[in-house]
Amino acid sequence: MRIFYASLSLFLVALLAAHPAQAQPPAPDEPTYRIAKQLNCPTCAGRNLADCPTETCAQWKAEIKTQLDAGKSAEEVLAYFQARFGPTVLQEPPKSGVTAPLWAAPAGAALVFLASVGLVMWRAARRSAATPAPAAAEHNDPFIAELERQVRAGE
Amino acid sequence: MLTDLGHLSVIFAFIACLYAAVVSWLGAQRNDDRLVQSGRLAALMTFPLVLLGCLGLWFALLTHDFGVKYVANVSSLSTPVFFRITALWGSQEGSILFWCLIMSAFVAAAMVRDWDAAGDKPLLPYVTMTMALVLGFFLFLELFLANAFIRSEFPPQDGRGLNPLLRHPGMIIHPPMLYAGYTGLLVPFAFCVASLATRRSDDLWLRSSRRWTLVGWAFLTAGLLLGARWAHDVLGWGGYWGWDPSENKPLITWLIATPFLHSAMIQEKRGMFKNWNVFLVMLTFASMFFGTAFIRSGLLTSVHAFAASDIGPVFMVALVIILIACAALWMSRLDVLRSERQLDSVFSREGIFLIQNVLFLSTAFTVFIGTIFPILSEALSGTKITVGPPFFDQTTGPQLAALVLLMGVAPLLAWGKSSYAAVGRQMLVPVGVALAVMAALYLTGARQPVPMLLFGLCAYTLAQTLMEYVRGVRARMRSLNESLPVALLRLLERNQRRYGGYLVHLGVVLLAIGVIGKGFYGYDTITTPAVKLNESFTVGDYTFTYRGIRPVPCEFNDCQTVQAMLLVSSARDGRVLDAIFPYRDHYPLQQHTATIPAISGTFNEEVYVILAGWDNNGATASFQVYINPLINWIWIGGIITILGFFVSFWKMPEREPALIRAPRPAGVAAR
Repeated sequence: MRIFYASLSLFLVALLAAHPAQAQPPAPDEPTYRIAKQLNCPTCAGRNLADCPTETCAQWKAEIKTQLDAGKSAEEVLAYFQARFGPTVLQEPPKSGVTAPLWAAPAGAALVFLASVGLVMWRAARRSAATPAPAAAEHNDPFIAELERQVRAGE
Repeated sequence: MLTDLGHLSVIFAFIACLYAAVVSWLGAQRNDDRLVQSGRLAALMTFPLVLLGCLGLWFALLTHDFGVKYVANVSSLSTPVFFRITALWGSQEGSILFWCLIMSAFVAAAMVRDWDAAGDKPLLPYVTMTMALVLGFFLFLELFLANAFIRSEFPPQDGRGLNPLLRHPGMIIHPPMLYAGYTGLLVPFAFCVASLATRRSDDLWLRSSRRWTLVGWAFLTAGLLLGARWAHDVLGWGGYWGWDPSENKPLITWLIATPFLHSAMIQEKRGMFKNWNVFLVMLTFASMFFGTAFIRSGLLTSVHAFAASDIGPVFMVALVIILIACAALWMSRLDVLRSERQLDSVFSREGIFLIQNVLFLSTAFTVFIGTIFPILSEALSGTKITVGPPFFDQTTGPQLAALVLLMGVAPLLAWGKSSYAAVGRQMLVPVGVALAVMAALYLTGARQPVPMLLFGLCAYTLAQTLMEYVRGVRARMRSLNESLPVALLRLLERNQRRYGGYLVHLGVVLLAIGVIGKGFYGYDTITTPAVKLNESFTVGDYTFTYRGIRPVPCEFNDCQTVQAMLLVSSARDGRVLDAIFPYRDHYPLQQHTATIPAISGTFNEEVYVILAGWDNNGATASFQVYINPLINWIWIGGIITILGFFVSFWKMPEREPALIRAPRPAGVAAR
């Protein structure tokens, strides 16, 4: 068993370690590209500006470059596009304003769902405190029954 | 001529569906087996009839009959035979017909099964009726709203050719897989309706449809994976998943069908969660319908825009009718769906399954709300707000991580009630493995806490799942004196459902490793300024030398292809590793440009290069480079997941035998 775990750990380390070990790359990074990655493309549905090869997108990218060359910061350029086209132009919808409900919905749903499970469980816990130990789970297969017994006993 | 025969045949199929639905219902009402059998035969006949329709359209595609509008839209004289065959599902009208073909195949398969031997004959008329109604609806769409057989008065000389995006093997197999997935999941829905209609309170419908559910689920999974592969190979955005509405739609259905597979086990084993299972199977069906309505109506822009038309409203009306009918049927049967026992303890397998179910549903809801938000925002504030991948990544990520954790905990818990001490003991070693992996990652230079934690989580679940196999094999080796390979084989063979399921879990963990690797350690960049001929640039560990561009013959004769050549060498020692050829296809007719990436690198680290543009006949060119660590584990995990399905499915009985349940424990009397 120990050998099994040791080899599994080694395997996982070999698998994963190669990547984090490398520092982030000294890439030919480009500010226009970074900003374009955060904007939606007006012509390629569902893609960001940087990944879209169309003519319109080339114009937008040129606009970003012009503004950067004029000395604007990345935030200012993004703010410019948002002011001009509204929040829909951003890849990541803002967490305030019209898109606030969007961000609130999943969190709210997860909370409500988990809370209702919590309620069911709490009631079950109260009930089970009052009842004796439950009957053993039943199985047609004696092998599985044996496994379940082992799991119960923590062998 | 043959094409018109096909058209006629589809009309007959539609009539057969209506007949089957009415006669089956009458047969059930009057308890007349002759009527039931007649309905069954009519439903069975839909498959050959729809097949004949497809053959008719195939004939038109193969003979370049551009008089048929659909043929002129999706093929041209230069379209190769293979793509003329697959063009059957290359656009809206044909794909609905093809969908009908697959659905009718499932209907026919359900009809020919030996209902007497399976012992679920009472369900037959209602199963027939439900399936015939759904298939009939799709045939109605095909005939009246998106008819692929319509002829034009002035046939063009040549057609427009198949959508360039669809010319990929992944795209050829992916739609049939998804259709099969959806229609496979129609079977448990039909059995559920039949069970409610006949006022049954047992789990017969679950056991009878289990094989079908599993098949539907597996097709859906394979369809999702192939779609991801297609996006990776063809769309040229560097990844495998773009949270596009047409990707989200099958994902939502998958996120509902998967908890259903799990909670069905609870009803079979414990007689609990009956209402919940009815709810889940109805939701699965509704999600399929709803998603199709949205994608095909063109309400949401997506890479599937080629399938847009005006059938959306009809779909929505049908969906509302289905929802009301389902709710009414369910509400009128609440009295027969009482749980046979109550939850004994939080800390039990059924308890954790409940948490898992709810987490899956909240994830599905998250994807759903992000997908439809553009429409919601347009209705509420007048502007259509696009929801990009960052939203989905940030909101579904934590929920999916929690699900990976549950995969590593649930198998430890027994049905009924477990003790904390026993479970804690079993967790010790896998937690140790996880800590060891995290420590090793830290020592090798990883510093970001989130991916380290996630990798640790994956290591834990992986160890725990493998542990299940080790435990089972050891138990066999000890008690039956079997050798290791024999014990492993017998373990899979005798308990295929359980160990096939764990194999699926293993596949999912490996897939998660790929997702985390690409998500946290992947990066991409563009060469700026453009690279001059024979000059080099370096990204990460790789140096690329630009060797020029050249026009090459287009694969499909209707495009202009320009290919670039890059030498890839190691940035450390200068050794030449590879030569790669990213290219661009320009389709003048469709006014479409496709950027096809070149892929290189090692198994653990993919290098994905796109030709972004060029100037002066290639004197300079620019490239987009993606480094995708561990992405290959997504495909390997996917293959193992499908393998797990085969282990589960192989030799599975037509109908699961009923479990002999122990009498209810004293003190938990039935209400």
